[in-house]
Amino acid sequence: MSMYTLGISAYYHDSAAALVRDGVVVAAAQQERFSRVRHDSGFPSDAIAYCLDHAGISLAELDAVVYYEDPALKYGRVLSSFASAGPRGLRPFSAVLPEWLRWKRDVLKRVDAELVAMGRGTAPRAVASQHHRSHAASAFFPSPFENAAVLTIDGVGEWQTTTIWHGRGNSLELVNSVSYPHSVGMLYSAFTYYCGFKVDSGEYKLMGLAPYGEPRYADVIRRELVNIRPDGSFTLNMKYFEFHQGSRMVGRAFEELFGAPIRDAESELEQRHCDLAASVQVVTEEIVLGLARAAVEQTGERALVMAGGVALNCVANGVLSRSGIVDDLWIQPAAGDAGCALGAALDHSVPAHGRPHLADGGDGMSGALLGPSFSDGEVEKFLQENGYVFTTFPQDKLYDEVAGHLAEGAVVGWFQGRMEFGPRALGARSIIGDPRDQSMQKRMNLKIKFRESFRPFAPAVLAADAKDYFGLVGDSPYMLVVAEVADRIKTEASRKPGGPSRGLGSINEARSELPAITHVDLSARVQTVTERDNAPYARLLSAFKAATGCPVLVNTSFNVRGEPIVHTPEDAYRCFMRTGMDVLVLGSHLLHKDDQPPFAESVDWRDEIPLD
Amino acid sequence: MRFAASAVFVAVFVPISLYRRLRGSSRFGPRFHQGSSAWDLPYAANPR
Repeated sequence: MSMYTLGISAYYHDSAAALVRDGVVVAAAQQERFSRVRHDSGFPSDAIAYCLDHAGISLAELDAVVYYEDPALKYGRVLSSFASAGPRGLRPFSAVLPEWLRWKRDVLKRVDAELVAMGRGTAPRAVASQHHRSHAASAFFPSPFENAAVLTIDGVGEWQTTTIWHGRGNSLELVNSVSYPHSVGMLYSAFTYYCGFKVDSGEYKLMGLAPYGEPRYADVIRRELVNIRPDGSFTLNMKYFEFHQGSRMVGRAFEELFGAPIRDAESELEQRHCDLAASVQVVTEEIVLGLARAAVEQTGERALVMAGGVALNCVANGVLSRSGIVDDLWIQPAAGDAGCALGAALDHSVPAHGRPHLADGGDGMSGALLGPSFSDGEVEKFLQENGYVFTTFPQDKLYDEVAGHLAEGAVVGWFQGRMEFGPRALGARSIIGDPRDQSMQKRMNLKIKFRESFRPFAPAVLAADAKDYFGLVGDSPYMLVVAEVADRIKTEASRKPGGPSRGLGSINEARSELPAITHVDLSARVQTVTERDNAPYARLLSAFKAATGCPVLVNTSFNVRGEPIVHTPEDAYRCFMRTGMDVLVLGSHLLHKDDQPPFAESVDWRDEIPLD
Repeated sequence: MRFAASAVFVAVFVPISLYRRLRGSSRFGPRFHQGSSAWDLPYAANPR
């Protein structure tokens, strides 16, 4: 008889649920996709309901419910942190303590109560794992390696901010750790905050800004803010940080160090912000390389797996993949806290049931396509009920039809199969376009995503053709590794010594034959696509290649700025009509914008969706 | 509740914080920042 384990992460950010059956990941989803609240921290009852429905079971049929971290340990860290905060911690402490006393220090009771309230049977009592153990399990157990060094890096869990584990077969053993307040995640978030972006969501913007700058503050960061040891460990100089006092990341000391006040959100970006981003990025890469080296030395393994929010820094991942420190690298696609739900469930299930995916080769993530899907019949019913105009294509004709529209310059909303688990759209809920189009980046940023014009777009490429276009080491199925575009597709100016012009003034210059996906530093955040991981997407790329000779598409997440990635056909249609997309593909059904009935909403969505 | 929390903070947490600062005995202080390693468990790195 099958044994099911439910993993839950909740109450901080990116709440999620994951269901594992006998060591196999069956379903996983983030609550934000259902609630439509970005980074939703609430109890993931919708995500849990989806997991149960997908498996056709009730809560009573679960063998275990595992919460992703240990609330008692976390409570101890919060108190200890305030005991080092000094008088400035008074206000945050008096706001935070009542909440901890009321429910947060015994969060498992609340989890149990929420499960009862779902009315889907009686679940087993929830048990707690630990934050970094959940990350480590999410990285190692679904990885394609029998044994590996495991490195987790994030802001903070209970106490630990960085951990090294030794993964062997079905076991996971803690080898070493660095603990709070010394945290790479906090360092990166401090600069995110200082540059006027939101903490816990704007970090990837800082990473996208870095190539426009020069790392002229890197020496200041190394000298004043971070002490990086030869053994790979590091500490932060807490004289400059305020996050442990509970109200903000940095303050006056940080402003004086860098000679300017904290940037106001949405105010104009200056070159110095790009330089700050470049500087903290370079230092982060140094720390990550040192930690990877330490992980290899302390475990004796040459294959490395990673998770934790910092593992979403695909630029650092690219540097690591090319460094020669490791022979193989695999990164959990849901590397942030959502992935902890998956890790918590796997950590309970794998010791008893093993890792069946190892027998098949490849990883155990099913291309990260672990979320809900909608049949062609369900989509057709939705379209007909609402009077939307569509054409249905047989599968063998659909890809050529869409490829033709893409080649003519159309921007296409591509909605196929099961939704992705993790922050990246990987060709199930994606907006796609022709990367050869010089105006595509600007058009997608300003008229479709409604976001900052400096933000780059990522390429999806047929895995077999990846080497012809990008300097990748190995595959990048989850868009978590940045690589330089190949010399043969660079423009003449880009091939010259010193490379192309950088800086914010050069955003829309063409640097390669694929200008829409080539960042100012000639890099690209590549997704390699195979038939095994995502057959419809691979077939679309093949059709586009047959039509144009180019096996690459621009891929961005199917949402507008500040909105979670779309979940249902209704979400997708709404996003399609709100934006400058030309074509929408829902399964086998294709819709043209110009054919649709007039679209009106009672309120402007820009007032409803807060900026990220 | 907030008032009680404030009182606890002033009576307990501020003195602990000052004591830790004077002794330099905290992970948050400069002595830890200047230490030879920040690993939680001892580890001698291979020379590079």
